[in-house]
This record gives sequence, structure tokens and C-alpha cells, in this order.
Amino acid sequence: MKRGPVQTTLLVAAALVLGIMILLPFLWALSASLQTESALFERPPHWVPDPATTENYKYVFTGDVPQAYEVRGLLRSPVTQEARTLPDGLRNSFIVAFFVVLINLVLGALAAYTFARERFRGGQAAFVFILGSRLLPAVAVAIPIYMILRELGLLDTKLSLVLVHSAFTLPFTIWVLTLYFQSLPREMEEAARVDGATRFDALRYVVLPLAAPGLAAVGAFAFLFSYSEFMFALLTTSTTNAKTVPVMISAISVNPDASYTLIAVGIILSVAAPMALALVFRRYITSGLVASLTRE
Amino acid sequence: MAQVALTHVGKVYPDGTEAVRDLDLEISHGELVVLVGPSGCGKTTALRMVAGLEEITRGEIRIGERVINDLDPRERDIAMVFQNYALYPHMTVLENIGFPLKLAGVARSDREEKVRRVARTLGLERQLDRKPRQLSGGQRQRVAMGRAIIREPQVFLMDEPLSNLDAKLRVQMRAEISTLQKDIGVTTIYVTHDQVEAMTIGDRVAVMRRGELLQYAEPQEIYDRPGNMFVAGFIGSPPMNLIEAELSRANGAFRVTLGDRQVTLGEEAVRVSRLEAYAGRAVVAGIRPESLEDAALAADVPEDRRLRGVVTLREALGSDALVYFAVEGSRALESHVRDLAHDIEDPAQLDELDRDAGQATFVGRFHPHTRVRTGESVEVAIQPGALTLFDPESGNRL
Amino acid sequence: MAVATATRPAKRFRRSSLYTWGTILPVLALVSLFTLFPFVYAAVNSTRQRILTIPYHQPFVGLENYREVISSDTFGVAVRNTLVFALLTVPTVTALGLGVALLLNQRVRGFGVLVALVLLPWSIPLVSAGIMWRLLLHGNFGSLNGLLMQLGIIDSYVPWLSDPDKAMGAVAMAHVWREFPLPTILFLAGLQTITPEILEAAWLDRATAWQRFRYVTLPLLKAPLLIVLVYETMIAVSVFDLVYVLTGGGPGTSTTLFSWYAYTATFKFLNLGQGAALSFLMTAALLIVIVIYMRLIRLREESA
Repeated sequence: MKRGPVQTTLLVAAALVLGIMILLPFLWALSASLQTESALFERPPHWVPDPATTENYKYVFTGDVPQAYEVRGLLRSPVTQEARTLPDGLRNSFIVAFFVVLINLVLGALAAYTFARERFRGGQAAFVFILGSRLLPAVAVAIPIYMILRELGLLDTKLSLVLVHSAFTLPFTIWVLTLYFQSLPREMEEAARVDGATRFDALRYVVLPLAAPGLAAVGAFAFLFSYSEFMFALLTTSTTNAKTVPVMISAISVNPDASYTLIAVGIILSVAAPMALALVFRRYITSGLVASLTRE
Repeated sequence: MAQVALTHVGKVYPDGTEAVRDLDLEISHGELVVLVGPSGCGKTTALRMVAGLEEITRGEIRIGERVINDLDPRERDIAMVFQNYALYPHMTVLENIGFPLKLAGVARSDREEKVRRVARTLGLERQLDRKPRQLSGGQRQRVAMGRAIIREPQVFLMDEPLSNLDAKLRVQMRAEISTLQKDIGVTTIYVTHDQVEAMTIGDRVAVMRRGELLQYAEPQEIYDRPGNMFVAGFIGSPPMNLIEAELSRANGAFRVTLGDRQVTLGEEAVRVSRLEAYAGRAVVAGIRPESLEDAALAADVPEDRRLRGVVTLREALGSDALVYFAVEGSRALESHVRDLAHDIEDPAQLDELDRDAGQATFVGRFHPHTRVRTGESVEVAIQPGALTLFDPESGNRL
Repeated sequence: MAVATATRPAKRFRRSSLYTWGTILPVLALVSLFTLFPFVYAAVNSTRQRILTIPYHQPFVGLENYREVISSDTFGVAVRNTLVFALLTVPTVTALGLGVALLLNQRVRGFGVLVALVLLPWSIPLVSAGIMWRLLLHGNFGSLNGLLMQLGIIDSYVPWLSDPDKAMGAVAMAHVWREFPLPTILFLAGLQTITPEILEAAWLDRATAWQRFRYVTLPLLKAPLLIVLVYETMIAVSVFDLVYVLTGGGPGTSTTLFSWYAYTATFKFLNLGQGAALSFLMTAALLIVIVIYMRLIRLREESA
């Protein structure tokens, strides 16, 4: 089944189309973030920034108002102030995501190890319950959770985000890790127990090092989920105490007075981290996805 | 004192399978006892119960004076070598061997020193920085042993440690393990399905089958006086020849009909009292291949100590010639007798064997210079004291 | 020698029971608190009239909320829109995912890189994806419009997002762009289990490329296909982020999907009771989808 040169060319062409299709939105957002406001409004727009300028980024981080704005008198627009809060948003997003990953790795691994290795009454039920909760869509519980948090006075806190995100990511984490632990040969843990290890020792010294790829996968997923999560963050946060990046950029974007260059900067800032993560962890992400969804 | 005692030990799984039934075993301090039997006989389960890796359903296990039934493995002061070695792949040899000490809180420098000492005993000094995947089978085995030795436990448990090695290596390691055990002097329970290993390495051998202990004695005793047909057939290679025969009494002497010959019982180790009860009844006679010889090469063997047969196959071993011959006038074993003699769980397998029913085929270890050839008839001499008789219903030795 | 095992197992059981439940309890608690409990809370609240502008009057109204909600015009529109959206996106995403997976499975030098590229749309926040598409599709300044005009495909800028007829399509496009990596990965994994020998055997049997695909490849992809279909359906039905940043439910109600409707009922109209009722309905609908899925799986296993 040899492939002729014509076929190869077609495939390469298709690949190029695919690549363009994927990258187009990114490239435009990047380009827009490096242009001045006025340049952006030309028709047809410049795909390659000319002239390229980093003044939009500088504004976000330092508050130096770009010349373009002074010309158009947007200085008094509240939106531009909003853009200056982006670094805070990034900070919040990272902090929340970090703790979500931590909780997933610690609590998730612990619970998964128990599910994988211990036989006990109610274990099966507990496992199914935890996994089953993942089937409930976010919308269905978003509003009730909002109401509950309101009663508890936990609105607008990073803590509530951490808790909610963890509750939503733990089922998947436990599912993947349980499968993973089960695939490790029992003998090594038995040897460890004979050598003098408690269950914690076995987990810490033997199981976890061997489960590193699985841990990387669930960690990556947890981070991506938490970082991208929008609805709960939207409903429950209101100040820069806890507003995450998605909430901020969406607020900026729905405002009709918003400066497009700043919106573009917001996008670029918001996608830099998850893209980098996905690239670095891609092997773990793909194998984790496949393992979890095909081993029903 | 590190004796190990199993008393009425039983294991029943949640689904009802009884893996071990009423096991009584006493192992003296410093002894190497082998649990041997076909797969599924419960030997590994018994070992794991001693280790604490399986719950003990019934009975009691003691190490020294302590009853250990409810103790975690780590509290039992034992060490175990697993069949697949169970080495930690992400740790170096040094870390693997030192792991038990690390768990016990021994300081790093002391740990290293001890590990080096153990490594030297096992010839592993130069592998200390390597990971298990970089080692050969034999080296991995030694690392597993090192990890077991380093804690200086009261009992060693070994679960088929040699079955993953090739034949030559197995023989070599067998000797090494035996020497090591004697040097260290630690009580050892060794599980294997290889009867040669069992015989060569064990101070005492426990033959198990389908969860039950059949016989527990020194190797020679098991060989000379097997307690029943299964033990007789399991120990020794090629296995003992078995044939259905009829016991009769004539002129004050006992005789058995083997095929179309009558053989007088001479110096056999049988209890005359029991023989009385079986006179005139069917029995199963067993003769080890080592006790058969080409009559042409055996000096002055009387007629009533001979068999006649037709040679079906001859295998030259160099030291002996294995000669397979069909015993004239004989019948192959009945299936239920076969079942007692072997460990055939699968009825399909039994059917297979039934299909080659015909005449009973014996194998003899003849002198290598024997002249017999395939297709020829042969006279076979039975050595004195070579016949063992069994009850055809229970399989026990008479 | 007394057999002293009767009393011991109890002690061990208790001791290890503490450990096992101890490791699971935090997770159970967290999950119950934020999934089970809210669900029950929603069910309860949906039977009360809770309007935030009338805070002290919260009578029990039975199924009144449900009746009001279902009989409202927006409800019907929302349901219809959601169905249309699902019908639009799920087959597209699946087909695209399969196509890209087939492409990536080809042994061409450098294609490995593409897998990394493919993950990118999926890795970013949905709102970011949405806003990126907004920049492209904007009626006045969208660069996609500019590009298409430069290529001569259109004459004037298309108001993708402000035209009721086109808005749904636009949201669907953004959604497909963002979601297709997942089916791609799953199909790719499935394709990689099909060894070249199987296809070569078919080729030797004189099968054309299409026949090879249809009779060998496709049947072997049944498992990922089922998973993709159900998962993407669930996702399509719960779309919210994209609607928020792209169209805000409009223009008019052309992109008011179900989750958007529930959101506005609660936060724009401040009717918590109705919002709860809608959430409950949504869950019910999704659970039905899941049950159907389970049945299909069992059927498939039995016939296999």
C-alpha cells in the first residue's frame, strides 16, 4: 500500500489547512494585541502588525496609557481601568488552580489508592457515587451552589472557587488514578509491606513514583479545568479579590466600549499559560484522556 | 527460637473455594522446608498466609512463641522473595536492598554500609548503582535475596524464586540459595512446583495437592516410601510406573500379577498385616524406573522378578538409556486411578488420556549399553525391594 | 491449642475500616456538598416561589414554577435552539474529529507535531476561544470578514453575530473549533489500535480505500464513536460560556440556549425558584441521555 507523491502532497496540503484553521484565531488575537487601536479599524485589517507596538501590554502592566487612547479620549472609559486588573486576575487564576491541583493530587491519590487496593463494604457504592456526580452538568448545580454560597457568606472568595473546582475535578482524577493504580502489579506493594512499609509508606515510596505519568495527567487536567472554569467564577466572584481571568476578559469583551486591542491583550494573556501547559504535558494529557474515556 | 508452626490452617475465599484445608506443619529452627505440588495445590496460598498477605480463615500460625494470625506483614519479622522478584523499578540496587532499613529508620550511612556488606556476599558490589531493568535474571534474583537478608528476619519465605530462570542458571542458583541458607541459618519456607528443586534443596519436603498436605518427610523418605500414589508419581523423574495388579497368596509368599507375569514380593517394604487384608484383591503396583533393568545386563534375576514387554521408544541420556516398553498382557490404568495418581482437574484432559488407553507403558532406566531396540521384545528385571503397592480406591500405600 | 481467631478479626476490621473511610471521606464530603446537596437544594427550591425582589414572601408553590417556566415562550425557543445546536454541532465535531484523526494517523514526517497543535484549541478557556472568534467574526471589524473579502469570497462584511440567521452558525463554528480536538484524540487512539496488517489484508483482498475504511476501520471505531457522541451531546446541551461572550443570547432569542435561559431567569429576572426548576429539568434531561447511553453500551456488549 504505497502512497504516491500526489497523495503525499494532498495530505501535506490538508495538514496545512488544518494548521491554519487551528492557528488562525490565535494569530489574529496576537496580531491585534500588537497593533494600535486605529490600525485595527481599517478595512481590510492588517494581519501583520504594521507598525507593531507593545504599548497595549505595557498599559496593562504599568498603566502607561498608549498614545492611541489619548487621541481618542478613552482615558475616562471604565473599561480601560478594568484591563489593568488583568494581572490580578491572572494571579487569582493561578492561585486557585494551584490549590485545586494540590487537592486533586493529595486527596485524589489517597482515595484512589484505597479504591484500587482495598476491598470493603460500601466501597463500590462510594466509588460509583463519586464518579456519578461528574455526570451532573455544571449548569444544573451552578445556581443552587450560588445560593448555598450566598447563605454561607462565601461569595467572592478564592476558597469557594477552590472547593467547587475540586469537587468537579476529583471524580475524574479518582477515576483515572484508580485505573492507573490497579494496573500496577500488586507484588511490589506486597514486597514493600513485607519489607516493613505501612500503607502510607507503600503509597509514598513505591506506588506514587511509579504512577507519576498518571499523576501528571490528572494534574494537568485539574489545572486546565480550574483555570478555564467560567460559570461558577462568574456567578460567585465580584471583585478583584477572587475574579479569575475568564471572568475578567469576558467582562471586558461584552462591554461595547471596549478597546479591541486590550481585549486582544486579555486573550493572549489568558491563553499563554494553558497553552504552554498543554504543550509540555501533551503526552500525559492524551494518554489520560484515552485511558479514562475508553475504559468505561 | 524461630520455629514456625501451622495448626489446622485453612483458607476459604469469599466465593467459597477452599484453597487450603486443615494444614498442619511444623518447621524447626534453621530448617529449610519445601512446599511442593502442582499449580493450584495451595502451596503459594499457604506461604502467603504465613507472610500475612492472605487472611487466615481457620487455624493458627505461630512464629516462635507468637501467634501471628492478626499481625501485619511488617510486624511478623519475616522476609519474602517473590516469584517475579518484585524489585522496585525506579530504585537502584542499593536503594532496593536498603529499602527495609530505610523504612525502619536506619541512618543513611549505616544503611549504606550494611547494604555493601550484603552486596558483597551476593556478588553485587558492582551493580549497586544500576536499576533492575539493567540487570540479568540471576542478578535480579540476588537483589531480591539481598533485600530479604538485610533485615535478618526470623523466617525467610520464598515463592518459586527460580522459576523465571533458565535451566542452567536454576541449578547454579539452587546451590547458592542452599549454601546461603545454611550459612545464615534462618528458618526458611520454600515453595516450588519443581520436584527436583524440592528434593535437592529441602531438609524436609511437604507435598501438597488440592489444598491438602499429603506427606511431610525428608526427601529420601518421600522417595523410598511415598505415602500415596500421587506423591509417588510426583516425586522422581521419570515418575514411578504404575500398573493395576492383583495380589495373591501362594505357598506362604505374596505375589502380584503384572501383565501376564507373576512377580513374587521379596524384600519390599510392605506391612504384611495389611497385605493379608488385600489378598485376592486388586491393588496398584508401582516400580520406579531406576529399579528396572535390562535382564540381559542384570546378573541372575529369577523368573519371578521379571517383566516382559515390547520396546516402544528408547532415549539415550548418556548416563542411562530410558526405555519405554508396553508391558505384555497389561491394561492401562482406569481413569479414576489415574485421577488419584495425577493432578488432573480438567475432565477434558482425562478424556485425552483415556484415548491412549491400551497397554500399560513402563519406562525403565537401563544401563546405557543395553542392546534393546524399538520394536523388539525385552525382558526386564525388577530390583529387590522395588515394588510399592497402593490401595486402588484411596491411593494410599500399603 | 485454642483457636483464638474468633475475636481478632473484629479488631482488625475496625482498625482498617478507619483507614479506608478516612481516606475517602474528605472526597465524599466535598463531592456531596457541591453536587448532591445542591441538586437536592435545587429540587426543594424549585417548589418555592423565590424572587429576590420580593425577599420575605417565599411560599411553597408546588409545581407552579415548572408550569410557568414550561409554558413561557422562551422555554420553547430555548429547547428548540438547544436541539438545533446539538444537531448542528455533534455530527460536525464527530466527523471533523474523525477526519483529522485519519489525517494525523498517516505516516508522514512531521505529523507528530500536529498532535500537539491539535490540543491547543481544547486547552484554552472557552471564553477565550469565544472572544477570539468574536474578534474574527465581528460585523464591523472582524478580521475573518476582511480575509474573506480580500480573497474575493464575499463582497461585504458579514454580520455573523448580529444576524439572527447566522448567529447560531457562528456560535456553532466557535464551538466546533474548540471541541474537535477531543474526538480527534479519541479516534486517533482507536485508529492506532488497528494494525497495518489488517488493512494490508484488506488491500490484498482487493478492497478500495473507501471499502477498507467502511468495512474494516469504521466498525473498529465503534467504541470511541459512542463515547464521542454521548460526551459531545452532553457538552452541546450545556454550552454557556460561548453564548455569554459571543452573543449574549441574541440577537433576539436566536442563540438562547437552555443553559443561558436558566442563567437569565435566575440572574436577570432574579427568580431563583424558576432558575432552580430549570436546573432540575436540565439535569433530568441529561440523566435521560446518560441512561440511553448506558443501555446502548449494554446492548452493544451483549451483541458483541
